[in-house]
Formats: sequence, structure tokens, C-alpha cells
Amino acid sequence: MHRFILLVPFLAVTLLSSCEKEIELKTKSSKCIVVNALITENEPIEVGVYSGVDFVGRNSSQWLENATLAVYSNGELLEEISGMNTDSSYRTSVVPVVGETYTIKVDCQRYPSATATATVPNKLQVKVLQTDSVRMFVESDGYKTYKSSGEVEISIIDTTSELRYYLLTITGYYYFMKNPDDIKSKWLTPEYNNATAQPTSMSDILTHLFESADVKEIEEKDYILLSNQNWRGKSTTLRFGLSHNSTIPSDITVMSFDEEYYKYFISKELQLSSEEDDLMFGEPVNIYSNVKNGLGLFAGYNLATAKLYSVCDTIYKD
Amino acid sequence: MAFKRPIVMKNIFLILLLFVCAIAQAQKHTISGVVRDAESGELLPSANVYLNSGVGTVTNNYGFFSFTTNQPSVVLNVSYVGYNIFRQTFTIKNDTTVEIKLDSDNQLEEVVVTDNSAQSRLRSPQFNMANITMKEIAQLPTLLGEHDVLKAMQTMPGVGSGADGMTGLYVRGGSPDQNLILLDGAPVYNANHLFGYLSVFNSEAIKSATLLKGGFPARYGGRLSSVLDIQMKEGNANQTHGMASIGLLSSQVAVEGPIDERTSYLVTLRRAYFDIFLWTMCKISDARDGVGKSSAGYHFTDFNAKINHRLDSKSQLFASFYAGTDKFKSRSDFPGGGYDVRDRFKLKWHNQTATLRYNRTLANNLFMNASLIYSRYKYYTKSSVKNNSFYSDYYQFSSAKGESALQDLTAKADFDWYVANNHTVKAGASISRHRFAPEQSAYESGSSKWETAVSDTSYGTKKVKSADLSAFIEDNWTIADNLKANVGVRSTLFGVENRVYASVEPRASLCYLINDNLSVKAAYSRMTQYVHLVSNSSVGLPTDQWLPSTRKIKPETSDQISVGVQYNTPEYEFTAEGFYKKMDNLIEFREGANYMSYRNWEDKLTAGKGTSYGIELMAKRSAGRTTGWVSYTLSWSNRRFAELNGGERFPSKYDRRHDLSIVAMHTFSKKFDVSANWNISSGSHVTLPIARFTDLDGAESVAYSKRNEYRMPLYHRLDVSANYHKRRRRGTATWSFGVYNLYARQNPLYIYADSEGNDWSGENRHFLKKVSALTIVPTISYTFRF
Repeated sequence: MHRFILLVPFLAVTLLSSCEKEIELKTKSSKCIVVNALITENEPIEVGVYSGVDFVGRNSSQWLENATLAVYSNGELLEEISGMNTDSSYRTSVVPVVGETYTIKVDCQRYPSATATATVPNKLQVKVLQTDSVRMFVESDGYKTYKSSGEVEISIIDTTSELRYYLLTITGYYYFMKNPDDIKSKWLTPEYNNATAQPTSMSDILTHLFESADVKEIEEKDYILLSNQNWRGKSTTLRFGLSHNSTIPSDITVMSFDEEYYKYFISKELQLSSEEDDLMFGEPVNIYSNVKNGLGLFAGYNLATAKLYSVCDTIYKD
Repeated sequence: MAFKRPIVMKNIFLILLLFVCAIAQAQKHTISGVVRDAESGELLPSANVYLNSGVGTVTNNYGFFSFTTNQPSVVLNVSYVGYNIFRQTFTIKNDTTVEIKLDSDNQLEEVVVTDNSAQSRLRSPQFNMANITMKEIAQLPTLLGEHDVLKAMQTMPGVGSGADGMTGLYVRGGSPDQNLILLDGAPVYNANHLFGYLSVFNSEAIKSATLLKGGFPARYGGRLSSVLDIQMKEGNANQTHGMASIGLLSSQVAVEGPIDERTSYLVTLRRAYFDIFLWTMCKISDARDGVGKSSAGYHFTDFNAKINHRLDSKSQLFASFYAGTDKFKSRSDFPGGGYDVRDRFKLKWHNQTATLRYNRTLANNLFMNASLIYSRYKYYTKSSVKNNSFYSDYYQFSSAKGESALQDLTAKADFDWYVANNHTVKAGASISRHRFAPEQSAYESGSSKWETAVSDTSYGTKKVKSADLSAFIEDNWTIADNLKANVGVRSTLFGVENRVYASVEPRASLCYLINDNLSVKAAYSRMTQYVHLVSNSSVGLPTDQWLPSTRKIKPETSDQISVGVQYNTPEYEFTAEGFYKKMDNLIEFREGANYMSYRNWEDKLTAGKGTSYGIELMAKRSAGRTTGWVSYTLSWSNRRFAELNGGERFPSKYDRRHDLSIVAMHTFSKKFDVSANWNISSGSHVTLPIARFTDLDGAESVAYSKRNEYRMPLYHRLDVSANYHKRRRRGTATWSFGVYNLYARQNPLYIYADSEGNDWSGENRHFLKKVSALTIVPTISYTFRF
């Protein structure tokens, strides 16, 4: 019986131990051309051209130096350049115009021609309608703490009739504690789930996963993503909660873009979140690409910014 | 339209004529009764009962049969696998009721297994069936010493296993939730112990298990791919018997016997004691690390009980109960960042089923069965962290808990009406209430200085109540001596969220006997499924969610056609079957969604279609000292979802192109028997990372293959076992030895991507890794039966 008892833990350890081993699976070669560019008004078109590499191995994605880039608009060749700049990009002199559609074609030896098309969305405006309030608590030793409890309301003015997506981010600024002249910045987290009194329905809010009318974003993100699906051709207001501890004005930035960038943005978020799980527990997600015969993204955007001033209320503590 | 009236009248006349014929048949004498095991008094379902005239039938689930005859005397033959053939002449003057007791062929000195049921199967329109007796299951090699019904079924053609060593059944390209698993008529929603490595079914409590893969009779419904109907033993009505077994990781006891002349019982209890090993491993780890202390424990328990009471010669009452629980917990206390960090985790899941059943022979040719059935599944998980400061009484904590549950209550009644020797009609109805509470979760955090913040995330969940009403009718129809059919229809109304889904499901099976050794068969069945399991993983995790059809999630449906041929020799049974199954409204998680993301579960899902088709071959030897089978499946299983894989068709992760099992059992003597099982199959499908590239943000991202584009390496393993039985003064002792995966094949459980080195230095190396479990698992157990 004693022998049996000794045998039990030995055998249990044997069977419970799993093993991991590197594995070689024959996969198709995935060498491909990668084309990336975001275009906006008043800035020349600048394109990054890279090589994609097989996943397994030591190689990493590299710039392709000897490609040829051609830019077209309405079927007309605007410019063609060869060779990469010293800053590793292909910079053209073509400055996009709002509403125009541009097509790029990239040729490089050993790769098929890659093409992609993008349009620059029109300019939008952002206005702060209601600012938040900040309380500054000053301790007897001069130590200051801040607490924001206010809500922010902004208006987004973009009267396009096309489907647009908006990415709202807020940058807060803080004095660096050891050196008051040094100001640090960080992205703040708008708390949309605390939002009230929406002039538009909840369905305007696109969560990072679903376009469902009754789904709310509850995971903490440092952005709000929304679309004009229900207010095309009109303006809208957006109210959200914001917690921060600074009296320095924050920057509110709203980036507008089309569905191509939206798909890229969402798929990248999904890939990052799905990579946290093993392949055993979830299906991986591919990052969206609109490049024919390659990978990458060519998309248009436009930006609008506004300053968020906080009303400061100072409280002195004994 | 008047010209149609004569046709209508003619049909009415024909129907009336049929009824008159039926009544006229009823005027003849019937011989009816039940078939029992002589030793235990257990009723024997599916026993082959036939007259010398060639008229034959099989007993129903309660051992009942009935014939009509106008002969003054009949020779009644009864056969059942593992039992001696019963043959007796009866003089028939009136309606006659008999009780037939079959002797087990174990009582013979020679240990030679005989199979009389192969001929019955040859003539039956019911095919698409996995035939393994409990006796065979008891001889098969085991994992961890546990004889497992589900694992035994995986050796049958058309039945695949999921990940290595798991009990999940993947029948004809279907997912595990498409299997209706019934324990005494009660659905079992999570049939897994030990995270899927063992099933909840204790073989000591089981009388029979039948797996249907297609050609479903109308009495079964609610799932698309298979029905596994498990009947618990009733308990020995003549003598008290029992067993006790001790194995490497679990032990069990079972007792059965008579309470009085009319009542018998069965009780089994099984408990695993992984606790001891995990505790030991934690202590070793603590001693090695020298920092903090940890402990972990896991165990499962199963409790089966059944009581069977004969009210009178015509009626019987059964009550059966099953409760199974798995509990895992871990705790660790270690210092970190000026705090004493206390980490706790608990995971618990349990199944409960209860069946109260009343049988009555209403007339010599009419049998009634009424049941009240309850089933419940629940899982609960809680994790918490508390940090106690080393320097003050300050502490901070956070905890998260989640649970999911579902509950069924069903009332049903069905009737077996032996209308004539060539018509046995089964009809019945049931009403069920279902309660689903998926994904209830809550979070709590706070500290000794702050208020506790409680976040109840049940807004992302939705409790759903639903009800269904089903009715069926089927006829076992002997059209001619060599042509039999089972035709029927099932209809269900499923009500949920003020919406009613209705289904009408026609079923038909046909068997044509070409000669005494050869038959051909064909079947069609339409199935509808109103409950769904959503799972990210290829293993059966307790956290997988059972969800009902709702307004957004439509019921799944399938249409399956199958054809087969069976050829019998005195020792061998050969079958070949082909099938084609089309499935609609299948559900999967949307891209990037998983059960852990905090969403309303309906919004995580997307619907699509599927097809599977293939051929299944089997050769089985059930007679002689050496028995066993070889089964081979060649199949395809595909899915198409508008929102997945760019709308393109992709292989299902349950697709196995080739699957071969060879099972051999040899009985040297009554003292010693051995068995082996070798399985080889195509690897599971998997989506792999295939490229790395620089994305728009300048980061290195990964491009994946199309969904399930690649296969894992070939899967194969050999299991062996040996049993040594020794007769003792008070019973029989059995030592069982076995090895699972004898040659230590490292079959992948899953594959993941990894890297080593540094991206910035360019020295980063990316690779794929496989995780294997159960590379070689020895087993030893000791069982004593009295």
C-alpha cells in the first residue's frame, strides 16, 4: 500500500505535465508589398512602401527603396516618382483637395503592382458648448490636488451627406511635479457611458466592436468613436463625462475619416485585443487593407481642434 | 373544384378501412410482456423479439414488446447481446402477458461473446447508429482509469473527438452543442469533468447508451447532429450487489439491490482527488521559490441514484437523480510592492438532473410512459485580490465574479401502440420551460480609505425565459417481409420574447433486406435546434455559454440524408454509410468577439450556413474471444458566414478529412483480458499568422491566413489496457492497468505564435509553438465487486 501511495504523485505529475514545443508548419510564402498613406488637405501626399515578410523567422518588414509611385486623380496621372527619400518615404508634390479622389499605384520589382484609392473628407468644426469645472484643493503646506467633476458638451459641425466617422481624443496637460515649468501631456478618457441628454440616439455611438443601436461602450478607452449615420447633413452635439486633475486647458481633437480608415482602426483594435488570447480561445482578426495586390491602407482624413478651458474653484484646507 | 370530391371521398374511405382493419387486428390475441435480465431483474431495451413465423420487433426502452397473432401457439425467440437466446412455445388462448428472463452468457464456462443483435440491426430501418455495449466500454482502454461512454463513442465512424483527450463529440461535422445528451430522458448541458477530459457519466450507473447520428426517429428532437440516449440502471431487483474502485485520480462506490419485492435501488458515488496532487505541486513550488505560499485544489464528484418501484403488474414508477460538481480553487499569498498580496480564485460548475417516470401497460398492445424531467446547469467563478500594507492598516482590494445558469423543466407523455404486427405507432407530446441566465457578472473594488465601488455589469446580460411544446408521431411499418420503414413527423412551437417559432420536421428511414445477410437503407431527417452553445475554444470549457434562440438569434435547422448498406456474416458485421447534411442559422462569434468581452451576448454573434458530407465504413467482430472494430470516416465540413472570412466559405474547425480507429479486445480467459485502441486522424483546422508587415501607424502587425486555412499535424495515439480478474470469497477483484498514448505522441492541443529577442535590435525571431498534453498517461485501478 505504501508503494502505491508513493506511485500516485509520481504518475499524477507525469500526466498533468503538458509540454510546449516549437512547430514547423508549411505555410504559403507571404512575401507581399505594403503601402501606407494617410492624406489630408494642404499636405503633400507621402507614401510608405514596405515589404511584408513571412511570419516565422527573423526577418522584419523593410522599406522598399526602389519602388515607383504614381498618383492619379480622376484617371489622370498627376505625378510619378521613383526611389525613396532619405526619410524613408515616397513624397510627392501633389497636395490633395477636399472631396477629390486620388489613386496611387506602386510598382516594385518582384512584387505585383499595388493600387489603392482615397478621398479627403471635408473640413469640420468643433465648438465647446459647456466646459467642465475643476476644484483645486490647496493643503496647508501648499500641496495642490485637483478634481474634475464636470461634464463637457461639444458640437460637431460637419454637414456632409456622406457617411463619416469621427474619432474624438482629448489631450490633458499637467505640471511636472518636480519642475513647474515642465508640462506633461496625456490622453484623457472621456466617459461616454455617463453621457446624458443626447440630441441623437445611442446608435450614433459606434463601439469598437458593433454597430448595434443598443450596445454601449463600457471598456475604458481614451477615445470616442462615432459616426454621422443618423445625422448626415446636420450638426450634432455630444456630451460626455471627463475626469482629470489639471487647470491647464486641454485639447479636444476630432478626426473625421471615411469607412476605409474606420475599418482599419476597428480591425487593428480587434487584433490587438484578440492577440491577448491564445489561438485556442479566439479567432484572430486581420487588419483591414484597401490595397489591391498588397497590404496596408490608403485613406483620407481631416482634423478639427478646440481648447477646453476648465472653470477652476480653489479650496484651501487647514 | 367539384371533380376532386370523389378523390377526397376515396381517401376518407381508405382511412376508415385502415381503422377497421386495425380494429379487426385488435380482435386477435396478443402476446405481450417485458424482457429482463434474469440475474438483476433489469429491463432490457432493444432486445430482439421474434416469432418463428418471421414476425419480429425490438423491446422499447422499458423492455416492453407486443405481438398480435391468430395462431393457437407461437414460438417466441428473444435475443440480446451478451445473453443466451431464449426460445419457448406459448399456447395462445387469450391475450397473454409474459415476463422473459434472459441469462447472461457469463454463466457459461467458456468465455465466448456472442452477438445476436447484428441480425436485428440488419433488418432495422434504424441505422446511422453507434453500437457499443456497456460490456465493450468496460473493456476499452481508459484515460485516468475511468470508463467513459463519450470516449468510447469517439471510436465509432462519423464521431470525432475535439482536442486531444477531450470528451467532446463532433458528429458528422457538427459542433458539440448539436448533440442531444439525455440521461434518463433529461438533457445534460455540460457533460464534462476536468475541463473536458472526462465525461460526467459514471459507467457503473449506466445500463445502455445509444448514439444516433442521423435518420432520427420523430421521438427525438431539439439538436441537429446526434442523440446520445443514456439509460441508468434500475438497480438489482433480486440481490444486493456493489462495487468499490480506487484509481489514480478518482475512486467510486456503487450499491444496488432490492428494498422489498417490488422496489429496487441504485446509488453510485464517484470523487476525484486531484486536490492531493495539486497541493503537493504547490508545496514543491513554494519550497523551490522560497517566497510566499500558494495552494490549489481541484476535484469533481458525481452522485447517481435511482429507485424503481413496481406498483402492480402493469405499472412501474422510476425516480432517478444525478448531481455532478467540479470545483477548482487556488490561493496565493506573496509579498510585493510593500504589500502582502492575497490572490484568490474559485471556479465551480455543476449539473443536476432528475427524472420521475411512470410506465403503465394500458392494454396488451398499448404502453404509456409519462415523465417529469428537471435539468440544471450552472457555473460560478470568483477572483479577488487584496493588498494589505506591511506598514499600516491600509488595504486595497478588487474582485470580480461571474455566473451563468440554465434550467429546464419538462413534462412529457408518450405511447407505444402495437396496432398490428406490421405497425407499431409511437406518439407523444411534451411541454418544457427553459430559463437562461447567461453572463451575470459584477466587479467590486475599494480600499480602507475609499468607498467601495461596485459595478454590476448585468446590463450586458439578459435573462431569458422560453417554453416549447412538442408533439410527434412515428410508425414502425413492416411494408413487406423484406421492406421496413420508420416514418414520422415532429412539430415544435418555441416561444421566446413574445415570438413563437414553429417547426415541422419530417423523418423517414427505410430498410430493404436483399437477402439474409445484406440490406440497404436510406433515411431523411429534418431537425431544429432552439438552444445554442457559443464557445471560442476547441475544448469544452465550463464557461461556454448556452443561449436560447431569441428574436435576433433564429433557430438552427438541418436537413440530412443518409444511405447505407449492411452485410453480416456469422462473425462479422460490415457497414458503409454516406451522408449529406445541410445546416442553417448556425451561430459563431463575430470577428474579435469572445465570451470574455463585455457585450450583450446577442450582439457578439453572427449567423451562417454549413454543410457536411462524407462516407463512414465499419467492420465489427462481436463474436469469439477476439472482438473489436475498425472504423474509417472520410468527410468534409464547411461553413459560410456573411460576416466571417470576407463572406467566403471556410472549413469548419470540426472538419476531419480522415479518421481511422482500430479497436481490439481479446479475452484470454475469465481471469484475463486485454484491449487496444489506435486512432489516427487529420489534424484540426487552425487559422495561423502567415506574415508580418508595417502598418499605417508604423507598428509591426500580423497578417493571418484565411479562417481555418491550415491543419494541425496528423493526430494519432495508441492506448492499451489489461484487466486481471480474480474470484475472491466475497466477490471478484479486478486489477486494471493501462497506458493512454503509449508511444508518447505529442499531439497538439493548440498552436500559438511566440517570439524571442528584441524587435528594435532586429534580432527578434518569430515562431509557432504547439502545446501538447497527455503525452503518456499510465493508469492503474483496483475494483472489487460483490
